[in-house]
Amino acid sequence: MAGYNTNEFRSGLKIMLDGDPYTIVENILVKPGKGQAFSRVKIRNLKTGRVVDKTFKSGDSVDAADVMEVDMQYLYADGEDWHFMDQTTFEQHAANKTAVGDAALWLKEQDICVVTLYNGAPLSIQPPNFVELKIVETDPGLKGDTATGGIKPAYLETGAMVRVPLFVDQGESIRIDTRSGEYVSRAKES
Amino acid sequence: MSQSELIKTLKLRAELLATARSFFAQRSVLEVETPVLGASAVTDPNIQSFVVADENKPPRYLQSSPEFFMKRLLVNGAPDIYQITKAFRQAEAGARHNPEFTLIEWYRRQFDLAQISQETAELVQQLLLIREISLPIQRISYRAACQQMLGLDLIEQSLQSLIQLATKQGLVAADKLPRAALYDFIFDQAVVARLPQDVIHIVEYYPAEQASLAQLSQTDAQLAERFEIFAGGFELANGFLELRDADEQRQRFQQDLQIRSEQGLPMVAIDETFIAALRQGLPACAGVALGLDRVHLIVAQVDSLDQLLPFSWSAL
Repeated sequence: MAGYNTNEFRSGLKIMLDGDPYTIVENILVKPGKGQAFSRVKIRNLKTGRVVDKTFKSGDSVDAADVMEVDMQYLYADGEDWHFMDQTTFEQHAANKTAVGDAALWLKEQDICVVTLYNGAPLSIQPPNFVELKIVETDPGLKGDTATGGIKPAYLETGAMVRVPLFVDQGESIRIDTRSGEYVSRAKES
Repeated sequence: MSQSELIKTLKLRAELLATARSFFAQRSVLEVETPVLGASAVTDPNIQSFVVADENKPPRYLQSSPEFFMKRLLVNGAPDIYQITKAFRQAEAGARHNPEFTLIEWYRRQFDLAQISQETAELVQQLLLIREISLPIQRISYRAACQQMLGLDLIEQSLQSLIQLATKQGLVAADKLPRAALYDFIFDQAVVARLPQDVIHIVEYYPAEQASLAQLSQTDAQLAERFEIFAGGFELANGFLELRDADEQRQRFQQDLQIRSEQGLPMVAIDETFIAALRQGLPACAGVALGLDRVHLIVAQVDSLDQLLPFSWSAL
C-alpha cells in the first residue's frame, strides 16, 4: 500500500489510522527551537464523520487510504440499497443504509451526489447542497399570508420533515439547503 | 500584502531592530557579525542544515544558529556580545516557522540562568511596548509548570507512563519515541497551550535529557540550566548557562550522531574547531537566542508569518 510522509500532509489527504480511513482537515507544524518536530492534525473519520486531533512525529509515514470522491447520479432505491451511477464510466454502485445515512432524506432520482468510495465500495454519500423536493403533506396554506413569519411542518416525498412558511402548500416543490436541512424558497417553476 | 500593510510591517520591523540595538547599547553589549556560511553543521538530530555547494571544494552549511561562532569569539577574548542575524533550518515552514528566520542571540560573561532569563524577558517586554502591549513577567520552573497544568511532575514519570500520557493526548506511535521527544510533545500540548498568553513566562530548569548545550544543574542532576520564554501562546527564546566542558560537549555531539544514524538522518561531521575552542577555555557565560519574527507576530497582532514577511517562504 502506498504511504505518505508527514511532510506531504495537507488538507484533503486520505490516510489510514487504526484501520479506519481519515481525511486530513488541518495540518500544523509544531517544532520547539531545540527539540522534536511534530505534525499536529485534525482528521475526520470517513466512516463516522467524527473529527479528532492527532499528532505525528515529523518524518513518520502513514498508509494512504484507498478513498476516492466521485460524482455519481442517484438512480433508485430498492428498499435495501441505494443505487448510483458513475457519470464517466457508467458503472453502478450500491450503497447500504450505513453509507447513505441521513443523506437518504435528500436523495432525489437523477440528482448528482458525491459518493466517497473506500476500497471501491461506497462509504458515504453527500447530497447536492441544494435540492428541490415536493411537499406531500402539510396543513393548508393561508392565502396571501407572506408577512406574518409563522412556520409549520411539511413532509416531503423523501420522508424528510422541514419547517416551511405558512403560505407554502401541499403539492408544491420547495428548495432546501441539505447542509442545514432548512427551507430556502419555493422551487422555481420549470 | 497591500501597500499600506507592507509599509506597516517594514516600519514595525525597523522599530523592533532599533529598539533591540538600543537595549544592548545601554547595557554595553557589543554588536558582532559571524559567518552565515560555515564549514560545519550542527549535529542536533532535530535540526537539518541547508548544504551549499562550493565548486569542487567541500560544501558549506547555512548556519542554523550563530552559537558556535559566537562562543569562539568569547574564547578569543570578546566581551559581552550580541548579534542580529539570519539563521536557516530545513523543512521548518508553517504559520510560525520560516526556514530562513531572524535570531537575536547574545552572550553575557558571568551571568547565571536567573540573570540571563530576566534580561531576555525584559527585552521582550521592551519590544512589545513598541505597540503599547504591556505584559508582566512571571518566572516558573519546568517542574512547577507541569505540576500546575498537568497535576504531575513529568520528570518523575516512568517512560511507560510518559508514553501513556502522550498517547492519551493524541500522539500516534508514542511508544517509538525517546523521553526527550515525549517531553517536547506533552509539554507543548498540555503546558504551553494552557499558559496564560498575556504573560511573559520564564520557564527554567528543563529535564536533563533536554540539556542541549546547557550545563546540568549542580544541585539536581535531573535538571539542566536551561530556560525558555513563552508569550502569546508560543516559544520566543531559548537560553542556557553554557556548557564549557569540551569532553562532555563532544560526548553529546556523538550521542546526536548516534541518533542521526539510527533515524537515517543525514550525517554531519562534529565541528572540531568548536570543540578545540572549548578545550582552550570558554569563559563562564550564559547565552540565549530570541526569535525576532515570533516577537514581531505578537507586536503586529497577527497569527501567521505570511501576514508579516514581505516575501513569504511559500511565495518567493
